[in-house]
Formats: sequence, C-alpha cells, structure tokens
Amino acid sequence: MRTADIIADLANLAFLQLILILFLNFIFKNKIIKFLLMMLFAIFALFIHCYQGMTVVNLERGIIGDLSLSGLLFLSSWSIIYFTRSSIDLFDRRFCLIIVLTGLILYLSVLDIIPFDIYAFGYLPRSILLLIFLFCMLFLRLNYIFAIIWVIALIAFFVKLQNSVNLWDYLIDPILWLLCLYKLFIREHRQDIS
Amino acid sequence: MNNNFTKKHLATVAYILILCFTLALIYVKTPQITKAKFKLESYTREQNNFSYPIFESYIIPQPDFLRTSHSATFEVLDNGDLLAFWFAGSHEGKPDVKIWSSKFTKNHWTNAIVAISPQILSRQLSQYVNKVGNPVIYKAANGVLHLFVVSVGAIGGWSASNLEHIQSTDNGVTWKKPQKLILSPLLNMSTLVRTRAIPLDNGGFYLPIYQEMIYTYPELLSFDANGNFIQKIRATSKRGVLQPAVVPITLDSGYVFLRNKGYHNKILYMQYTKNGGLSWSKPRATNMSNRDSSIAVAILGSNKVEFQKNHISIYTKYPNINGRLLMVRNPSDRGKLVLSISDDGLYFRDIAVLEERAGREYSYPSIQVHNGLIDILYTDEREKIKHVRFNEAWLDKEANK
Repeated sequence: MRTADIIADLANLAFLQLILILFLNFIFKNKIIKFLLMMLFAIFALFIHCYQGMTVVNLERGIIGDLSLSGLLFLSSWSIIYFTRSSIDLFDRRFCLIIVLTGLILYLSVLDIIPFDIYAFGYLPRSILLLIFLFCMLFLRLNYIFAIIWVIALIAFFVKLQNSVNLWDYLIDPILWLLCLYKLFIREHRQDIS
Repeated sequence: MNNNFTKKHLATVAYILILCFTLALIYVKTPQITKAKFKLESYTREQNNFSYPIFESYIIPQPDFLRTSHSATFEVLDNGDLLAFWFAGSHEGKPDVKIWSSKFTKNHWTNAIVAISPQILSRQLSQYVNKVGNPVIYKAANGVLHLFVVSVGAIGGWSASNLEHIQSTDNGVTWKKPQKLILSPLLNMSTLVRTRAIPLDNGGFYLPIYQEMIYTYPELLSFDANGNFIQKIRATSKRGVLQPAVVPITLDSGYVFLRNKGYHNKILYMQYTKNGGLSWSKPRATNMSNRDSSIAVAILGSNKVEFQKNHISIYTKYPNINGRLLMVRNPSDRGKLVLSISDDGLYFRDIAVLEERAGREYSYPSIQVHNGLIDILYTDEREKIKHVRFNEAWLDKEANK
C-alpha cells in the first residue's frame, strides 16, 4: 500500500472517529471507555471488509475522497488533547476565522462563484509561497500546533506524500473547514448567550 | 522566566528557519509556468492512396445483453489499427455499466470485451466506486496509452464524479493500476471528461475536462511527457458550457468549441488561444446551433510552415486556418448527425448527413484523421457504437454537391 493511500485512509478514519466521539459523548462520560471504543472502531473500520470487499474507510473514501494531511494531523492533535485533558486550545477564534475565510474563498472560486481560480495556483505554487509564509506566521501566533502542522504539510507536498499535486490539498480540506466553521459559530453563539 | 523566554524565541527562530527552508525547496522544485506549444499532427493528402471516394460503415459487435451503449472514444495505434472504448450496460449510470473495448484490425472490429468495471476500480483503488461513465483514450508521443474514465463513488450522480487515469505500455493489452486524479478541493467532486486529448510539442498533452457542480465550465488538464498530471487551466469565463472540443491550428494557436448545457441556448460558441492553451479568448458565436449535445472536431491539411505564416495577431483577428475544420454534431436534436466543414472556424456549412431518424439518437461523435482517412465513431440509436470511415475524395464529392 502506498504512503498516499495510508495517509488518506488515516485521515478518513480520523473523520469517522470525530463523528463517533461526538456520538459517544451523549452516552459515556468515562474517557477510557470512549478511548477503547475508538480503538475498536479503528480496527473495524480499517481492516474488516463489510460490503463488496470494502472496509468502512474504503466506502467513506468513495464518498468524500482524500482528506488533507493537515486535516489528519489536526484531528489527531485534537484527539490527543481531548484524551489527555490538556488545556491547549486548538480552536482559537482568529485561527478559525482565517481557516473559514480561506476555505470559503477557495471553494467559491472552484464553484465559479468567484471568477478567478485560486485553487489552480496550488499546482505550480511559486506565486502563493509568500502568502503561505504569512499564514504560517499568523498561525505561529494564534495556534502554534497548526503552524507546525502546516510546515509538515509543506514538507509532505515537497516529497509528494499525498495523491494530489496541488498544495491546497495538503493544507486544507472541507472537513477541517467545517470543523473550524462549527467551532467559530458555537463559540460566537456561546459568547452571545453569556 | 528568562530561560523560558529564550526557549520560546529559539523555538520560533527554528520554526521560521525550517519554514523558509521548506518554502525555498518548493520554490526551486516547482517549474515555472511556460507557454506550451501544440504538436500538429502531420496530415497530407498525398498519404491517401485513393483518389476515388471511399465511404464505409461498421457496427462494433458486442454482447446482446448490453441494452445501452454510449460515448465512444478511440485512438489510432502505430500499425493503423483503431482501439475503441465506450460505456455499456443496462442503463447509463447503473452499477452494471462497464467500459468496453474493441479493436479495429484488418477491416473488422473484434468482439467487445470488458476493459474497466466499477468492481475493478474499487479493488485497485481501495475505495468504493459505484459506477463508471465517459471514457477518453489518448496515445502519447512515447507510445503509452492513457485511458481516462469518469467514476462515481458511493453516492451521487455525475456531478459527484471523479476522474481515473489508467496507463498501458503495450497498446492496451495490460493496464497499470488506476490513479485517481485530484482535481477539486471540494471532496474532489464533479470532474468529467468526454473529448479527446491534444498533443503538445514537448511530448505532453492537454486533456479537456469540465466541471458540473453548480456552474458548468470547461478546463484543460496539462500532462508532461511522462504522463504525469501537472496543472489545470480554466478555459473560459462562460458558464453553462461543457465538453470542450479542442483543435490546434498552429504551434501556438488553437480553437475550442463548446457544447451548451440545456436547450435554452442554441448557439455553438468557440474560443481561441494564441499561447498554446494557457489563456483563451472570450467566447464567440459561430453560425451553428448546439442543443446540449457533444461535438467532435478535427483539422484537415495541417502544415506547420503555412500555419505560422498565416498567424494573425489576436488583437485584430483570430488565427486563420490554412486547411479545413471538420465537425460532427447534432444540429437540432439527437435524431440527426451531420458532418460540417469550415475554412475559418466561425462559419460552418453542413456537407453530409451521417444519420437522420426522428425520435432516435445518433450522438457523442469522436473523430480522428490519419493516413488520409477520416474515422468517426458515434452512438447509434443508443444501443450500439457505429464506425464510419471515409477519405478526402469522398469529402470533396460531398462538399461539391
């Protein structure tokens, strides 16, 4: 199995585990039980063929495709922080806002709602490297874990660790974008209530 | 505290150094966007040994249980044989639809065999593929065959489709493991292909594709000489057009003709490029109509020197053709398939009716010009794939009628 497929499988698994943990929060309070269930689910989703010789992760990849390495590392970091009860805040409001705005512009341009193709700059990305540098500097200030994640993603792009040849596909994906959008909205909403 | 302050700053400096080093590596490794040049396929009338008109037609034999066949694509092999692919099954979009293949050799088509199925793709890609659609075959300058197939995962219609890229180094006898092309940041959805690829002078090629998520628009995928996908170029600002049919007319210039989506817009639009496809002009209306039906275009009589000489500035006039453009299209509904000819890419005249029967479908043509012969494959009544072959003498006879 190629490294790109392993990364894609793990990223998809991380997304499934995110959904599972949201669901488990309604049932269990004990984090050890939740952790054990997550591990059991990981084994099932990665290795058990449940439909036409496909695993759950294979089926999910057939729907949402390959997620970004940044998404995988970010979801993994979130899981570690969640289970170790660390006080690190992965969802700084300004960080979430940057990701949401970047994703919004990127996705609107792909849908041809914005009349220039920002995604295309990611194929031969010389012209956006300065922008990426500025983003990393901002992340270093707002969310240093994500700043490190983006450097790892940049190295991965250099050695082409994923199936994509577009830099944006290493840096951001719709799941990461939705997660930041959700956190931004929830936090804003909670602040309004308080 | 002072110690912590130093550690934090050291970490920041280390981070910036690693970041700058990584960005520098990417900068050095990334090639600059350079102007591409088309490769003009050599065609001369003298290659045709027949001065008398030739017109032949064939039906590709396929199993009786295939109730629908559609969207044929073909390539001319080095020995002059034709290798065709199309999708067939119970109904378009059903999971039992597969990509079928046949070879035209010694003046007959071999029995169709399965080339690609959703099950084969699922197994080889390690991700679920529910259905397959339009294929496009292209033979690169190095002899490698590139087969592109539209596929859809577990859910959704064609607007949720991906593109699979499969290569063969032995003229289609065996195929390498498919590779899913990542072409959109939005879950890689909504990329389709239909029209033939265009060779570039550097051994690479352009594959025309189109997006169909909210707005429909065409793009070009650029591949290098080794068949690696490099970048994507948006071909137009016009929405509601798809299945771009590209035809190079000089090393730098080319035309693209665009199918309309839906029946509301009847005009067939064209655009031209002057820099090898990196950018395209605004759409211009031709004198032809198009009602949501695929078109195929080829050029007759290419000659590099003459083309260069006739090249006129894009700011005053679009590039001239020193030859004739052939187009196969449905002028109104899909019950009529005509062959049209043009000297300038804007004004076409119909010279032959290939098929006409009300209420039936003759559509999705593919065309190739080689060795003085013109081959066209198209969907025949949605049940079979038909092949017509003629020469330029027949074309002249029809044009002079």
